[in-house]
Amino acid sequence: MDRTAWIAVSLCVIALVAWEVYVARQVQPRPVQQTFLSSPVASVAPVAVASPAAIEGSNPTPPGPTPAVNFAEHTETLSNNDVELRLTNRGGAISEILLLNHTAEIDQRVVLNAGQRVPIGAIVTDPSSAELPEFTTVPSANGLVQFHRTTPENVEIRKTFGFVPTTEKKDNFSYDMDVEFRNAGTAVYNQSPYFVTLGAAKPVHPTDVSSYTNLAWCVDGKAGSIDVNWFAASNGLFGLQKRPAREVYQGKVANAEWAGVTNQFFATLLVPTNAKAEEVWGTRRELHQPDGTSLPAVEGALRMPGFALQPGQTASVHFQIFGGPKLYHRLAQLGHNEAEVMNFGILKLVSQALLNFMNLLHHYLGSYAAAVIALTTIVNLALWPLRTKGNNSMRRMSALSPKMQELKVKYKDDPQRMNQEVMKMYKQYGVNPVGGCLPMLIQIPIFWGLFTMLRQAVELRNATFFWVKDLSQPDTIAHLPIMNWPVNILPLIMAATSFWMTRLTPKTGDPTQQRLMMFTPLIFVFFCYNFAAALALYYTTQNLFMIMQLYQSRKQPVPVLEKQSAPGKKSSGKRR
Amino acid sequence: MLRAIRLFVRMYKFTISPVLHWIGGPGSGCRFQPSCSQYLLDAVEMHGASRGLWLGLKRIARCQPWGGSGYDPVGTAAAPSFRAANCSAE
Repeated sequence: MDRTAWIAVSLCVIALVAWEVYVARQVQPRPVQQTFLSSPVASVAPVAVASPAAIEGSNPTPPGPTPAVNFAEHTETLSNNDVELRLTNRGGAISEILLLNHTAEIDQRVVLNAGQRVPIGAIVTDPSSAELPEFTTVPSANGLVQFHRTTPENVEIRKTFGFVPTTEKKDNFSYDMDVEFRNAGTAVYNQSPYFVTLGAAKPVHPTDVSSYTNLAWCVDGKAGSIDVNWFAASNGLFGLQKRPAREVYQGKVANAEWAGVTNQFFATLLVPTNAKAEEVWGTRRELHQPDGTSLPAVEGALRMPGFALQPGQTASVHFQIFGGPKLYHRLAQLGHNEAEVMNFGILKLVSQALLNFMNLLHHYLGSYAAAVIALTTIVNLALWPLRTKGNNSMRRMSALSPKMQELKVKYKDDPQRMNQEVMKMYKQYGVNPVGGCLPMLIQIPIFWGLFTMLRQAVELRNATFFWVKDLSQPDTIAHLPIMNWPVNILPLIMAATSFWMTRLTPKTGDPTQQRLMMFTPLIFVFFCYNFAAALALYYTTQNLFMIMQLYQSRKQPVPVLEKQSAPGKKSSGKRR
Repeated sequence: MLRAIRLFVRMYKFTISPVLHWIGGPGSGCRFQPSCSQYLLDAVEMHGASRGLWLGLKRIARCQPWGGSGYDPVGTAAAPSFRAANCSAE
């Protein structure tokens, strides 16, 4: 490499380091703020409750302190093979969802809404202060849990929880919540618009990129979301887009199909099935970890319209709650556009097809690492003939490039003539360029779809591959003492194989292009370094395939630069 | 408009294009000289934004296994070079 090339490489490396430092800064625990302290559910702290301010006011109310609990909390449990629901009398709602077949860090089960301020499915007038009244647990059988409460206005509220009936044997994460209001008084009761809490979502791993933690909703099959960073103050990039911290998000969502909170892999969604939601509300919480750091969580609520009840009249609102892993094939079966929470982006058809195909391969192979490798193999086998052809013509082209240069000089004043001469020369030597820009541009959506699919496929969680403990995470095996830099093996192998491949590639084209080809692996490592290991596994496998192919074409005799007389005898050196 | 196209194509040449070459592996790349991106730049310079873009897109459409190959600069009228490149295919 010449000097410019070295300068460019060094610049790339510097940029890479700078980026890593920037990301590390972003991920670093923020200084503990005194706004809110998440306390265990059962704490009986006599905290003065913030006065319930009007929600419709122009100034959103700041998130209040932990609601006071001045009664003994007790929980009921509902469970199936996949999940254990913890139901609390505090607001008569789901306090936690234990996923029995999903492990988080250090062999702990994944628990949705663990240690959060509000439960899932509580009815509140102000989600900021979220006063949760005591409900009475009604003994009931048939896999149902019922809560009961009579308000001071003499309205009986009855909430019934149960599993949505299903024929599927596994991965059932849908729950019913039936809310019944009965006016037992003698006067007309006017229920003002109320909020149903969505609980909160936080990253599964402390190292997760925070932008995956979202408040999401779906209107007419179109999902919208804001992530936790929406709330945070931003210094902006070079002073641009500087803004202060935002406390509360409130958005009108007429006729929303669902609203929920989600992280990279799991989601809690609330579907009002017989009423229409009005507004989605969200706020950010800092969850303080035992080690002194804090995790950003997003808490949400959905506003439902009010109604009037004549004495003796009953109103019933039904909700379906999804709380579990974002398994695309299961979400797609639920029937309220729940699968839109996947956030696949504009190429969702490609991502969905690839995800379904990967799951099919997993069904036969039994391992996700094997499924990813098989997926790569199939894609590359399909491209094999095209690439072999390409390799051969590349070798010929590179052998012809001195002659090409000659022609360029000879006919530089007559491009028309030169074109004909070049074409004649190609024909004479049996060179047939394959590929082109169009096939290459067509590949972009496929690889982008793969990229978006692999980064949030919950199926890959805890899928192992030799030293890789979890294909959905970077395969960090150690941290360098300098700056605590993680050592990720697969992206490094990927970079090494790419360099190897670039060295093997026959040289054609202009030197600038060649030099750029040397940097591409670096740029890619830059992208993939802290990414899901599955992606690096995919590209490493693909590189190995291409290297194999290049060696195979190398084994064949050097293209003989002979003018071919008979047109039928073309491509003599192209035996396979 | 012209400036935006110029910026975009130059960015493409230095960022996206190498990635595509790397993903596509050896044997991928433009069949023409000058390359499609350079052609688009030239076409925009010579014929203005809208016509230049159209010519560039037509060139990309030709840059596939059933299209032409070889030396194919932007013609002043754009038609002769197009025909020449197409006739000499394979």
